[in-house]
Amino acid sequence: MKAKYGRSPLHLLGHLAALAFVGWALLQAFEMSRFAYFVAWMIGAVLLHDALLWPLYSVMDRVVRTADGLATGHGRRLSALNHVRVPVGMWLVLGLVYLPVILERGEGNFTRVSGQTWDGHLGRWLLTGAVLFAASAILYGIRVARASRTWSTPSSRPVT
Amino acid sequence: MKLPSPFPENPPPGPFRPGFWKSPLRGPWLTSILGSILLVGLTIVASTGFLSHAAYEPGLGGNAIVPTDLDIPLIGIGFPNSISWLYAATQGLHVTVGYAVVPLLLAKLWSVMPRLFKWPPTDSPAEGIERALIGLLVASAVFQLATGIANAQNWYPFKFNFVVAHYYGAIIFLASIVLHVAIKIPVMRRAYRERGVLKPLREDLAATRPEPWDHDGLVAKDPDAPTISRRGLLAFAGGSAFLVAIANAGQFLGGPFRSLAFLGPRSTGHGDGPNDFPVNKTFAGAKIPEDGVGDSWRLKLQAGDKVVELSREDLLAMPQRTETLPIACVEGWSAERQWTGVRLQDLAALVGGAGTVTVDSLQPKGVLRKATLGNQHVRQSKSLLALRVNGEDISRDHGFPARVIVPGLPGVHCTKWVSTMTFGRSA
Repeated sequence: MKAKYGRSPLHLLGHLAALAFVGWALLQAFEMSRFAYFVAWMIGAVLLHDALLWPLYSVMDRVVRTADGLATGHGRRLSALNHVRVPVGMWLVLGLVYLPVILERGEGNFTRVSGQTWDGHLGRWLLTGAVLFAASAILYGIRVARASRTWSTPSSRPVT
Repeated sequence: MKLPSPFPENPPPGPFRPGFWKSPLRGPWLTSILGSILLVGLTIVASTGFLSHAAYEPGLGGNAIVPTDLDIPLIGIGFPNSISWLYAATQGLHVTVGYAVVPLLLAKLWSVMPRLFKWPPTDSPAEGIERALIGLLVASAVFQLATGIANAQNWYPFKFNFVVAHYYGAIIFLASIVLHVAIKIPVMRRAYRERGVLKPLREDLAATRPEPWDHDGLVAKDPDAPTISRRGLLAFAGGSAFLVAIANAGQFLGGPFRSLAFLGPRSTGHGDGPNDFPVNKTFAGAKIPEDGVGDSWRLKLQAGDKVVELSREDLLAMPQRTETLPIACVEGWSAERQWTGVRLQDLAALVGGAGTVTVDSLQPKGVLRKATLGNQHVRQSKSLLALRVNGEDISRDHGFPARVIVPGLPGVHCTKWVSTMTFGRSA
């Protein structure tokens, strides 16, 4: 059995139990209107990550790494790679999570239920970016200044 | 005996070839630590989600949004009502931790991407069935986060009912995550035993080395030099999670913190004065008839064939109680206020009512225009039919002439513009 199946019988039973439970949930969900949209959104969720987000951030990361590699290769001694991709990554994730409110996608519904409007979410997201990038730039500046001081006066280093 | 593989021996080009994967950070330890952190977050999100389902008391009256005959038959477990801020806390955590999980899930999925392109895709029936469950796990996890985020930000790009879809999505997620954790516990234990749970966090960039190559397919065969340490990567993901969380957390912490929720959809109040707190359904939006809330308004109390009608003056003449209670929305915001009004148990006593109460609103149509409250809520002495808030009459948007406020009850079940209260009959 193990040779043909590949893992223990417990593995098989566990998976059958889980699949049966999932089947039950799908059967109940089938009763709701627009079941096809539910399934389409489930598949779309995988595609959103595997076919859109992952390739997109991988390419962006490759571009930043290549640019940084070229710059460091031309005599700049301190890599700025993480000073770019960390704040940019944090800022983009923030934008992804708050995308509906930043783009005011649900403002019609929101106004209907709350009697209010959304103001300034896009602006505050941009300002968050400004703070993140500026903080990262200052940190990088400090590191560059420190490094160049050490490099220009090697005699000031403690002799060990 | 080995089954013949239906796949050609040579992998197609690109990510299916091992040489495509260059990161020196990927490996069983990194995936284990990311998975462990993610598991803590997802446990909070899932358990608070199912608690919220229970807090709606779907077994009572017309409360069920997921039809009860299509639900898991343990919905009668109820929700404690002795801790008034409990629902505000669990739902605040559900939404805020749900947001914070996004960067952690992205990092975890990044760490296992080579396995998506494994070649051959399966080499045993066991692996095939396991990968099918992983597919369900990823699909339901991203689905739950995407639909939850859209709902918390009032965006409905889907055509299905959010509550029903988010509930069945949660069940698919639960089934697949339990199995995934059970299967991966030995892998995690081995990684922690061999590399130490936290020891790799001591390595700075210069000390960062690839994990030893194994047959799991996570460690790159021919890795590049590292550009970030493992602790740097964890700080990146954790810092993103923290940033995402604090952009919303003020919405449920309330008070001075509300305005710090710089990207939360509910970071502003609602008007001025004592009635300055968020509204989930306005007077106009609910299409409450103008003439329904004037001097002619009467509260109708009913238990069996016993009926009592009370004007607002009658209610104000009854013993008034003031309680400090939060109004807490399923969307993850809450606001604590001082409510003044008549206890639900005093109203029940007027008609000899016992057991549950069904509260109808003046709202002519729409879901959640009425709610049934369990006996424990009626008996709870802090449960009020509120007439005033923070010393002033309740505003129309907050439910004038009278609204229900009950400790630990979801906000939408604290019915506004109450017209009729139908109690059970004492035996």
